[in-house]
Amino acid sequence: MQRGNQRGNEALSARLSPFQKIYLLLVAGFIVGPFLPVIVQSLAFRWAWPELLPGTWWLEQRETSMIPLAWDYVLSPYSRVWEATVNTVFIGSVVTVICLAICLPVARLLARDSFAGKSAFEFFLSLPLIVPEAAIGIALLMIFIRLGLAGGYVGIIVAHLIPTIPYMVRMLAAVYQGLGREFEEQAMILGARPSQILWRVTLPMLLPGVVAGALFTFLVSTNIFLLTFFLGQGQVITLPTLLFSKISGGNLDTTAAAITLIVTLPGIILLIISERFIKEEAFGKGFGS
Amino acid sequence: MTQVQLNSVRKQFGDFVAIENLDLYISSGELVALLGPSGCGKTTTLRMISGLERPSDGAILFDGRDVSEQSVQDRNVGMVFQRYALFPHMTVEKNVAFGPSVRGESRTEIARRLDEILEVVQLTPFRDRFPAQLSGGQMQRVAVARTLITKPSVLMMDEPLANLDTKLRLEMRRFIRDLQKRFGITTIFVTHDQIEAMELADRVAVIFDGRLAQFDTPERLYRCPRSLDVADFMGATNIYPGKLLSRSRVETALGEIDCPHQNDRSVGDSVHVLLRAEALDMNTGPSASEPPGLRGRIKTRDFFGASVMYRVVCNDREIDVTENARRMLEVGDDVWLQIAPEHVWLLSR
Repeated sequence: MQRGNQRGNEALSARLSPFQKIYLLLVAGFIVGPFLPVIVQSLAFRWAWPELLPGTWWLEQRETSMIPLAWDYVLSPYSRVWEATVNTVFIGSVVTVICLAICLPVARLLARDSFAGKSAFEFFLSLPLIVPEAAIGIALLMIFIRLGLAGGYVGIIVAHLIPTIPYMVRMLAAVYQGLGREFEEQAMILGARPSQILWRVTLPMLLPGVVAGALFTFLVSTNIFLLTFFLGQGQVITLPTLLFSKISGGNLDTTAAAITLIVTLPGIILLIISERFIKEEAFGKGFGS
Repeated sequence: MTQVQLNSVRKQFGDFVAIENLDLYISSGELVALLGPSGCGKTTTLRMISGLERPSDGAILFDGRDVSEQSVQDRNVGMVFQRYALFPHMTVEKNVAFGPSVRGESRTEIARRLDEILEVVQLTPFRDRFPAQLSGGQMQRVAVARTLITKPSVLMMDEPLANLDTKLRLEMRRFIRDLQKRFGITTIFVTHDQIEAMELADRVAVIFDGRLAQFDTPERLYRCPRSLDVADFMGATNIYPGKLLSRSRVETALGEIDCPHQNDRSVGDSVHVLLRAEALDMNTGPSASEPPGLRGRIKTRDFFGASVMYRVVCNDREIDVTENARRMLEVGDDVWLQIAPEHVWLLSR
């Protein structure tokens, strides 16, 4: 079957028209494009405005510093990059777990049952994505200052749940819709108790959706700047807030470029892991029949 | 071996009554089909017997013991879903071992029963495959094995042959029958296909709109339906209104027909006359010794390989005649139809 697929792919690529190729390249350009100047910048020694490429590369100045200057700074404790990375990953993980715990039961309800006001609920689910983040942030800040949650992890985590829950619910509801009731019913008839059904049947079958949803939530959380900035009040720094403090001068200097690359790392690592995981664990072993 | 009894079972979802006062007695070891159009309540009935639904009223008894309030897990029944519901993330072996495993059987016991049951369903070479790597027939055998390994007291199947092609159907039909006889397990299955019901079942319960219309052997159901609905559902096409001229002769728009002696009807009663398409004899000339039969002309011919179906126009009425394909008559031929009185069935009108 696999060989057949491969042959199909070759045949497909041979059949691509120039227009199709141009569109593919265009999208690829949009995906990879933003990374190029950042990578170049992080390896530059001096890159002044009118020059298309850095006037002085780090390589030409390697007697002055062993590694690129930007990376030297980023890896040093003064940059607080390590602290920000730990904070970012910690907040992202907690947000993801809480988000899953809230959204799994809701998604199940939305996918399987009908209740009064269900369509209104589904309609308003996206509301937090429509309201500008700044408005949410300010409103939350005023409440959280009074509650004593501003400037701490709890406040940031609660704030991060606001834009992530709508995505997670939608993603999980879609997987739940694909998971018919009969699998759980079959497990019940075979004698499985509710907890056995959850761990042995429901969760493994939802896994691709859960992984995708968790990945997405984590990435959104690690990229939120405004809410973190408002509610962290500078006391909790994450990679996006650290980066913003570097580029707020209106100038992408080499350290900012290096931090940008660091910011993308957790996401890239997660993407690779989940891609392999989803493929091998689920799709490779017989989902999607 | 379990005998299953439904005592005036009723099921209501909101305002919708799915099942109205259903009484059913299924003997131990019997293979019974619940037959009806979709939405008639047959699947609900099956789900109530399995315990996935609670009856709103009435009782379900296994061997005389009321199980209506017993949970699904404790009822020890087996169910094979229409689309098999094999766990896609488990191998054949894991799927089949799921039941004993969640019931906390020991590893050695599970391994022993697994080997045994895989041998029975001839899936030993496929034990490490995933469901997506199996054919439809193999998936169904896995589903059956997964159920049988738990030694259920009642086996239930939802449309067991519906997803299989013609050739596999025959094979699976034999397989299910053999298995059912071998384990002597009371089996109930649901279908909307009267052929599937007749192929498999010892007795068939026909359900319309939540009510039991007839519960009988396939042969009785086919030859002697108790109502027009049942006759229609069993595929009868030749049904004509008529009036009894005597207790053994009926007048219809086709002509006068001899029928079996009607003890409980009187002369002048209005009836429906049911003529089985395959019970009609078609002659190419009037019969010399007998009454000549009903004269007609062939309007269309459909060839099915082993059999041929002719549509004959008789006195402006159409009548279907099925013959085996040893001879072929042409469209437009004149024919004379005869039917033996014992093949004529009357329904009250």
